[in-house]
Amino acid sequence: MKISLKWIEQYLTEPIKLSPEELADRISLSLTEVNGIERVGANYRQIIAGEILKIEDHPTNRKLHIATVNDGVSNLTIICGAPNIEVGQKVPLIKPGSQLPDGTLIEKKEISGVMSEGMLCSEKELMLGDDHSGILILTDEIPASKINNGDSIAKLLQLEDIILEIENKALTHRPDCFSHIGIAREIATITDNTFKNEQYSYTLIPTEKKEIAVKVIDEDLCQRYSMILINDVNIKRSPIWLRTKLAKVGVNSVNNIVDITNYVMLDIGQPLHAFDYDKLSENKKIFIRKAERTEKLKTIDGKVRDLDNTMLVIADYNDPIAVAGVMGGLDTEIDDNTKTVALESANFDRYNIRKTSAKLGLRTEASTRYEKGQDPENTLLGLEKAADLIASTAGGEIVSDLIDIYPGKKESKKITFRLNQVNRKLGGEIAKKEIVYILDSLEIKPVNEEQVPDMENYGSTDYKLELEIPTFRQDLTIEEDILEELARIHGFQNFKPTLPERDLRAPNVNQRVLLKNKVIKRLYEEGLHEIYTYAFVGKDLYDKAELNVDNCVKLINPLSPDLGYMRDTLIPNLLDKASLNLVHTQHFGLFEVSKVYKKDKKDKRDESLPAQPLMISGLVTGDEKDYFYSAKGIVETLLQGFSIEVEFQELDEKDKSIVPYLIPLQSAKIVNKINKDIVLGHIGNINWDVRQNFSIEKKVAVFELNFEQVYNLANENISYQPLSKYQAVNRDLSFVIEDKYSYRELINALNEANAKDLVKIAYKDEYISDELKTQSKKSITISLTIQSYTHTLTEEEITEIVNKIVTAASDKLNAELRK
Amino acid sequence: MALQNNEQKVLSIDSFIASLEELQQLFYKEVESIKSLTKLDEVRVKYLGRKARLGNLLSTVKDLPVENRKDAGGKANRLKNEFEQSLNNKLVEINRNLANKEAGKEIDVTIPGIEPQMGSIHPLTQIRFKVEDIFQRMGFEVIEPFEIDNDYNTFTALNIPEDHPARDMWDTFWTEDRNIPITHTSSMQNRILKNIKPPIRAIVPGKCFRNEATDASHEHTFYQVEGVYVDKGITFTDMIGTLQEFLRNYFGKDVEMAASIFSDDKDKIETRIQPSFFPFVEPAIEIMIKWRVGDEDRWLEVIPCGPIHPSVLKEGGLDPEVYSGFAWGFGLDRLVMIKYQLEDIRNFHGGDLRFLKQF
Repeated sequence: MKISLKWIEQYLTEPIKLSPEELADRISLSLTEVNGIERVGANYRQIIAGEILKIEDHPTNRKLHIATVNDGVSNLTIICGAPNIEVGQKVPLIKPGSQLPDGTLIEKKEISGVMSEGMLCSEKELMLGDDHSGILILTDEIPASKINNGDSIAKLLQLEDIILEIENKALTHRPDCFSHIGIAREIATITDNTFKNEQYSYTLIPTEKKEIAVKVIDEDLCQRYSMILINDVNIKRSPIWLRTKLAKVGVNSVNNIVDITNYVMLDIGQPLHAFDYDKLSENKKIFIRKAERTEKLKTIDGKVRDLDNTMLVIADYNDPIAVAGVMGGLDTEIDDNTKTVALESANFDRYNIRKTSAKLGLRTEASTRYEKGQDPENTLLGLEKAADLIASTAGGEIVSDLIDIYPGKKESKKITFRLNQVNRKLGGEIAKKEIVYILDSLEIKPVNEEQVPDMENYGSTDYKLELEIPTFRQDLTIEEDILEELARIHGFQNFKPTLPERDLRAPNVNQRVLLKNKVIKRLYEEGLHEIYTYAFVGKDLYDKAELNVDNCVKLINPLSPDLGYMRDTLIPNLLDKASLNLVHTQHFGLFEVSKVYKKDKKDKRDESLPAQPLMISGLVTGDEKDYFYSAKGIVETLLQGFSIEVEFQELDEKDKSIVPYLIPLQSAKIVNKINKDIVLGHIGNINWDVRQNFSIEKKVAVFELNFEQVYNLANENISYQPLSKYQAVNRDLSFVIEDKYSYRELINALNEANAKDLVKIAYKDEYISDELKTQSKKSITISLTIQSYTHTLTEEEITEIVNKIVTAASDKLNAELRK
Repeated sequence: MALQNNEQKVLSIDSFIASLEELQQLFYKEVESIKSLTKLDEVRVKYLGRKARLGNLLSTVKDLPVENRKDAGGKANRLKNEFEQSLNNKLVEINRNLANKEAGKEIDVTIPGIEPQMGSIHPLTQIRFKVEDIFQRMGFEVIEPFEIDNDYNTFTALNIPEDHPARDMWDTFWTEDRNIPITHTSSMQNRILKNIKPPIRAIVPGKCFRNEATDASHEHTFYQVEGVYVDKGITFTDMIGTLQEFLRNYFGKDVEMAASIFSDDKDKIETRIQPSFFPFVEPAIEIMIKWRVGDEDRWLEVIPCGPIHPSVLKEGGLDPEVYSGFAWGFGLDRLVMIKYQLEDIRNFHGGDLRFLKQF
């Protein structure tokens, strides 16, 4: 929001003494951030008011005149072609050596044989408007008595100003600060200036009475509705002072009536709307009511709006003519031919305005102010100010009684403020004198003037002040609000920081978070790189992974279609990032630990929400090698670290639908070894199609584990084994078995031998010669560790154990030892 | 062995000793010429092995006259010990020579080392660890948020009723079933107030979502750390002190909260407090720090916070006349970016290893 300091100063008894930078700093510390400081109008300093004393014809050029112009010191000869100059006028004069606002340097110049000592300027040349038909006549804009020859127009037209760009966000609760009067009150308070509220009294007395009637039907949505009619207005361009005042704060000029309504809104915060009286339906009745479901309104921006029965409208006898507090209708808009204006100044329910504005997707300056909660006491001031300005700039006379319907009038609000709360809640002290100053300056008055605390009573535990809250401060409702006012004006950083006292109890350690953090550290130690990817996914990404995005939680207002859903697996994003990194990195592993969202499952901790399990997903890729076993090793080591025993099982049909991106014959379901119904996740090699879709030429293995299951199963029950004092012996055996048997089946068979002192069976390798292949057989080499806790094993004992194992393999799987 | 069985003749002691002496001479001659460990082993086997010459000689002791046997056996064993001693000395000598040779070899220490296969932890996780650690040391517990939550927890319970203009401060995503990918981790505040008996000290690090277009300084997905402190007698200045303590730990420098903005002390992080607005705290403030960005000092907003609004305490089942407290919710991304002077927030979700490996 742009704030003009010249405008602000109208409401201060003293001019602002601080530099704009210092002022901006003070405002930032006590009210809201100042985002920018702009100095405007300095380029008008060299343009001055000159009085035309004499006009003669140019000797050779019939289109030109020779004017004698007084600049306050001397008379200058100026050649001028404009048709509208007359003796006695005061006009903008630019002398040789000075520049136009656009930087053009003006010099003495001979025009058709006569020397011109400067130039008279049009509006367009001064960049104050589009008019280039003639010279800007200052005396048309400002009373001649106020213009001294030689005065700078920067001063005369108040062109020179400092504009502060202030942040609205911190003012969401401050309806009063969406106006110059409100900001002026704040600046007065924080700079020890005095706020001067003009006692405005423009009486609205009708000269005649035209027909008009207003009925508020939905009184709960309309606190107040005030209106007057003004007749015989002359719709035209606004005077320069008004146009420039609006331009400085970023508002475009439309015509005098519209400009005046905007001006009043920026001045005091009260939105106004002007209807063309003659365009209202014939019986001139106005209703404030909810719209019918089928009603439509073409608003002044030309768009047709579908209304519904929650929206408050202003309607004439037939149709809506405005969306209350948001935007007026095109059909009753002011135009160049408007003769009679129906001027509305109202106050509507803030929540309803916001809801309507959100539904219509239509935010306006008016709705922004209304939804913050404007002061209903302001409507008449708005009408008076506007009527006064209309009378002086557009002529016209008031032709109706003041209509003022005020169903929402409220008692003024009171807050009991206990002085000891300053110390109790803020933790510091503010001097009594300062408290009195701050409250007074913000117009927060003790109900009983005598209640103002004296020195003795200040700080005593039971001293209470009954405060009356000004109507424009709808944000102040509780005692804490008063504390905030005191603290921010005092300066938040003028309090001395303290630390709360606490006992020595150790905080609870969140075991879930602890385990999550351990998982991340473990995977990092295992050589994987942690990445973060978006929770939002789209159809394209899911299609690439052969997944169906319809299974995901859908957003109703996504940023873009490719971010329209919330993922139920981390794998597609991992593949996407793998593809990206393969461009520059040969061999790597990635992981992400993040939540996914299950559309059709309820969260155990809050059943109103979709389940949000945390997943641990990883990916390994690189050259040639089959990465399945790398991924598996990572998973095994990770889970062993939390004493979780798992088994890797073939995928069943259900698994295949969960992980369609995997090659079924090179993938496994990871289940708990003790309770095989508990599925921890899946692991496997990515199929060729999916790799193609992600432009990945290398082999890729991925895994995804459900952290919730890991958390349930994880334990730190380490069963310690004392070390044997006796020598361990290793024996490698190569078994030839039919290739339908898995390694696990071989191990199970060996274990069934129940061989005493067999402490470990380790996998060495798998070997399939051409010959074995033709017999559908394979050879698996394992390494046995044999060790006794009681004695050193003899050759005979070792041989016996090995034989037992070989026999078991032979009995169960028909396995033979490879020769 | 055939030889032993066949030699039945009686040896004389003289010839036995002569054999020993001859063996001794041969041995020392050979030892002297040993240059390698292999040769050493060969010599060891040749002279001391079970089937070596000394062994053979020893096995002939039984063929000597009875009265000479003890003497001969003693001599032979002493010689064996002598050989062993000599070979061991030789072994040390060879090893020392090898070591000297090894030590004489110069390596280029400037060639890069062999890189171990290490992974990396995302900078945001690293900073989350750090933040969790600091607050845990200060007595806070860590709580995880729901990433999809309902309207009540995200807004209504936080003094932001439906259709309140303050809702516009958060560009909110909505799911089809009218839930919200959380816009802030404050969504856990009501649950914390309801479920933990005061004193409450908790932080909630979590992923948040805002419906805003992404550019170098804006992300639709970002990370926040909510904090809640509630107890009897907690004040505004307690909040400033606590968060100052955090900043001091995080940036590793002393933080001067209330001091002059124009302090000269270079080791201090200067801070500034500005008013802000959030409906769930009263008053809302923003703690800013002065930080060098490029070659100029700038004020950066780091911690928005405030005393918890009485309505929020009440909604959480706590009597605001008895309890008071404060809450904050700062952006983790922002802290990381400030610390490492990162210029583009999008790198966090870019997944580019060349970026991630640097942390």
